[in-house]
Amino acid sequence: MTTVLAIETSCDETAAAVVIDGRDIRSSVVSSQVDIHAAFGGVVPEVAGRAHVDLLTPVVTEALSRAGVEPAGLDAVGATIGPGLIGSLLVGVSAAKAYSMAWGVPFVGVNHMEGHLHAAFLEDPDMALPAVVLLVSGGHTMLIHMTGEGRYRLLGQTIDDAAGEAFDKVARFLGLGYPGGPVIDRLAATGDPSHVAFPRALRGQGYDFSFSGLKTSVVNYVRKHPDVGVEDVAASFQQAVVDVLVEKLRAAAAAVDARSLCIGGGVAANSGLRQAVVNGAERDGRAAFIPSRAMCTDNAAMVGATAWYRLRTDGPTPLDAAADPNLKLSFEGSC
Amino acid sequence: MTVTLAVDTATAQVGVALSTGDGVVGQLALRAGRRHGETLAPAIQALCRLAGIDLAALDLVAVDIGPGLFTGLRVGVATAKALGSALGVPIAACSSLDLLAHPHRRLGRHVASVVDARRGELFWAVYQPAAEAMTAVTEPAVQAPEDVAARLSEWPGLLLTGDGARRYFAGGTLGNFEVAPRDFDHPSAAVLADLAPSRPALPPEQVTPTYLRGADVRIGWDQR
Ligand SMILES: [Zn+2]
Repeated sequence: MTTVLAIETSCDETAAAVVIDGRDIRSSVVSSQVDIHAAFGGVVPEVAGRAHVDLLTPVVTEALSRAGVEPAGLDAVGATIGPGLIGSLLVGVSAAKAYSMAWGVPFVGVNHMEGHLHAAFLEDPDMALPAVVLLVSGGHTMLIHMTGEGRYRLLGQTIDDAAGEAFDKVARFLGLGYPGGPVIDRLAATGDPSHVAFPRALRGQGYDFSFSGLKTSVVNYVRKHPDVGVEDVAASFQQAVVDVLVEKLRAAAAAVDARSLCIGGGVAANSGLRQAVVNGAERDGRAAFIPSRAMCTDNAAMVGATAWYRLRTDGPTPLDAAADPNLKLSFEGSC
Repeated sequence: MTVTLAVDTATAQVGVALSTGDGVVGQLALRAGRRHGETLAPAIQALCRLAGIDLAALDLVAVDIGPGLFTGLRVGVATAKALGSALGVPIAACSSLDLLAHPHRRLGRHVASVVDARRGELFWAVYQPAAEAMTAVTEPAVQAPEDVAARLSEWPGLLLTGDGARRYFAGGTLGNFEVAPRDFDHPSAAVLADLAPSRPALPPEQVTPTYLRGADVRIGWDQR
């Protein structure tokens, strides 16, 4: 039995968790800084770094106490080592190295995106493979073919803005504040998704995405039609994003004959996207794995699950390892 | 006998020191550039091994809380807080400016600690001499070199120390100031280990860096 303390500080959530054998979540504490950043209309890197320094030690203490685990019962300390904001990553990585030295257990650096891929396994260890996973957040939009734990192939990704970025930018333009995802999701529920036919970029053209043109279309439309209902704009915009994401997810699943469709990342908390993935999978006769909202957004449990896996396959990470804001997910050439 | 680990990452140098009842028993200093996150943990591990002191034997963790480079401070303070919390020991927090002034306490002169804050600014404070610990006679501040020079000229016979003094005042273009030798350009972890037992011992969660400068809140929407 391997008990891992995991730390996640790649963006604006300060999180810690205790996970046993990569599956059994004993505690998962997330202290969101969203209220701090809302005043600025987005995540401010320097503000995030400062908040992580103040929040991390209490969050770790809370995770250990909720899990009822003594330091002597820990076997490893994992932390997100990239990608993310460098000033934020450094706090979690430095603290994790210190905890590992103090307790005499291995340190394991974890790729944040691999963490998101593991989130589905945490809630459903029986996810049928191969799967195609759509990772959508403020920083990423990726389609990944997954044939096993640690076996991935990148099928496509955004060539400009991430999907979550599009939500934030449109919300900002509409004066809806930050973060954009939840408020657009809420407004869209009462709007007409067919009110405006916003463009679906790169439709039918492989598995890459583009969202910067969509944002510009929303801006142009609202300037030309200042009286349009914000609910209708939100619903039409969200529909355009969801249509492209789900179409490409389904097309990729068909191309590789995947048994499952899966989503992850902050945008995977969007109710329109969740419903569309469930419907699409049903139509295609594939299984849909939709992690809980808490497991879609950034958390440390997914880091703990990945750390356990990486410790077994790669061993401990050296203490001189650098946090890497641009860390890539290492993909196999084929799988 | 108090076993103390001192950690300093406030400037371009990473320093660690261990002290016991016999004073400082080992220290390690590396010019880290921006590689604080890569060098600090291995430096602590190497020093403990070479000195034959297990981290579990610590009674106190001392940390330089700045002012200084934000990235470096985050690495040092996050490390110190985690060590203190993991080992159940308190933290002694000390200002980088205090640490720079301390080695010059027996000279009988006023000393200005001047740290390079980057972006064309300096962190600084002036200290008056005292046999044991120097005391600051100005509030720590962040200002442009010209403005600091104007303020420092109020103290005749002042000795300047720190990497900011080296960068802006050693050439004489901002006035006729005496700058301490290069050996004193960076805070010393050994000095920190010495001073630590005389500082308040804080619970780890209460320790936070001294920034002296508001966070840069520009998000750069144009670039996104
Ligand atoms: Zn994420």
